[in-house]
Amino acid sequence: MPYGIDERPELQFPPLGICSLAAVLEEAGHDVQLVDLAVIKWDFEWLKNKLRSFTPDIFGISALTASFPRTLLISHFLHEEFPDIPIVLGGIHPTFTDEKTLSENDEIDIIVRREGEITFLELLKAMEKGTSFKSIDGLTYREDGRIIRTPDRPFIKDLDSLPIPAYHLLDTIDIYNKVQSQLIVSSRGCPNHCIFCSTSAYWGHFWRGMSPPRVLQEMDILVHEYNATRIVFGDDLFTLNKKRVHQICDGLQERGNYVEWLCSVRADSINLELLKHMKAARCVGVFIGVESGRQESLDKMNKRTTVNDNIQAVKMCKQANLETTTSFLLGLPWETEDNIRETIDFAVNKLGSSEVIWSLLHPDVGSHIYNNLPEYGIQFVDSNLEHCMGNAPSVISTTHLSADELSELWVEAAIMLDHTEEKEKEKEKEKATKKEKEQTEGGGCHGY
Amino acid sequence: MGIELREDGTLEVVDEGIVDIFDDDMLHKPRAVVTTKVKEEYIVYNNRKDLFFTTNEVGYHILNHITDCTFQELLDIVLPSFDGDHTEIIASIRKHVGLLASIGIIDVERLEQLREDSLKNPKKAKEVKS
Repeated sequence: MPYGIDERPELQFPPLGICSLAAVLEEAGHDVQLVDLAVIKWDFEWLKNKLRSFTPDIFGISALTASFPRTLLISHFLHEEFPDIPIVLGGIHPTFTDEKTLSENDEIDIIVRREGEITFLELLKAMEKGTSFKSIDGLTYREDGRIIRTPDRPFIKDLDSLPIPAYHLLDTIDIYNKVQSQLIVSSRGCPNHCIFCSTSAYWGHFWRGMSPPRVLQEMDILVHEYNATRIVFGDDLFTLNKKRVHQICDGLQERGNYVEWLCSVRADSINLELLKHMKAARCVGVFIGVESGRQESLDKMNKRTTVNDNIQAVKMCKQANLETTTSFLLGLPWETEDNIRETIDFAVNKLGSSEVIWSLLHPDVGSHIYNNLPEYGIQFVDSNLEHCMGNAPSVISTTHLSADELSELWVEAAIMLDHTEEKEKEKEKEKATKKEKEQTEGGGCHGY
Repeated sequence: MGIELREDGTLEVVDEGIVDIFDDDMLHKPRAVVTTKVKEEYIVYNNRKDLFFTTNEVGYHILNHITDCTFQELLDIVLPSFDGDHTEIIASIRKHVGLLASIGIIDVERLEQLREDSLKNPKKAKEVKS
């Protein structure tokens, strides 16, 4: 995350990727320390002092696109301060820009692509033995001035084989309870091929889920050892396997529903029975990536859901008494101003979701759109990756709309929603006043 | 908000009052600030603080003309659209622009230059200030 925790606390979740990696390394006998740079507000001096007392043999930094500029800054800083310690990057942005990143940044030595747990462990073994990296799948590195790219590593099939993430290594673990919530990722991968998303390119097109006992074990630890009162499932498709979710819900009910939780669902991967069970197990809300109110756009983005699926999904969530947060993508390459207004109208006046998140399209590295920008007529107008956060101002222009026009439409969407929410509140207030008045007048009549 | 010179020659930003704007100050509305009209309301969104607020037609008109120009150039553009005593109008626009600068909606190049100078050459900054 490019921000310090004080700037955008709502975006702050524990860095689960490096916690999982650290757990694997610890299990193999390595001494590991973790730092969440967002929580220490990217304080390089603080980090330097911590590292001087730890004297590490290797640095590993995980980076998203928006945090990548700061990742480069901190890599440069670490290289200046500790020139003999190799720097390894991982995460979604380095994975899809591996060769470019290495060729443009001498201070970065190695990139671990995609799932890093096994690759990083094998890398450490090879470094200890002084053997070549050539047989380690999932690596990009330099050798004799050349950039070497080993084949992709097959994805981990059995997620239960991974140890519990090393939460104990995060000095800042309590902070997430205060500012946001704890996080669990109980499945990886997505069988869908949405053109704007890089998730399936990163985690693979086949979905793998942890078993219910393993998920519950992780929840037990977060609740009992780290005082979690709220857990967010960061899975892209938590409800793909409904039987698994029912079993997790059974387990939570057996535990007396000790924690409130939220998850992401797809409109076509839920039913009322499942939602009601989730509610009974103290799920408080779900996130649905609706993306558009127009069927043509849903089809073109390869979302494989229908406008009606989304309407029915929100309706079912309401019936189950679950809060819904829906997200919409504005600025798809084929969309005109009228098309975007149609989606705004759908979200604000027709869908009935409890909360809406508007995102301007910022093509994610690794996504189909990013790999085919000219074909889609998209141009980046702002090359600062830190600005790829989905809010205005837009970082791109499309064939139909300039970046300024897209930014204005994003603001319009946010304001329209605000207007509707205010109107709803006014209506409710009016209703309450009317009811009160009727009761008072009614009471008088009874008195006669 | 104002900018004060410390004893050691560096500048200090103080949350008191509105920034003074001079005729040759270079004004710039950053990309992070988006203005638009929605349902008869003039909206300003400041991405730097993730804040929305409303302004009136005049404020909207002024803000939309702040595109890398000096304050004097801004006046040349916007003054013809106002009727009334120009001295009063200029004072009012100056105050309004100062307010926009003080809350971070626009950047003023003189202030940025003063900040840089204060770090590089505290003495020079003192001279500019005086």
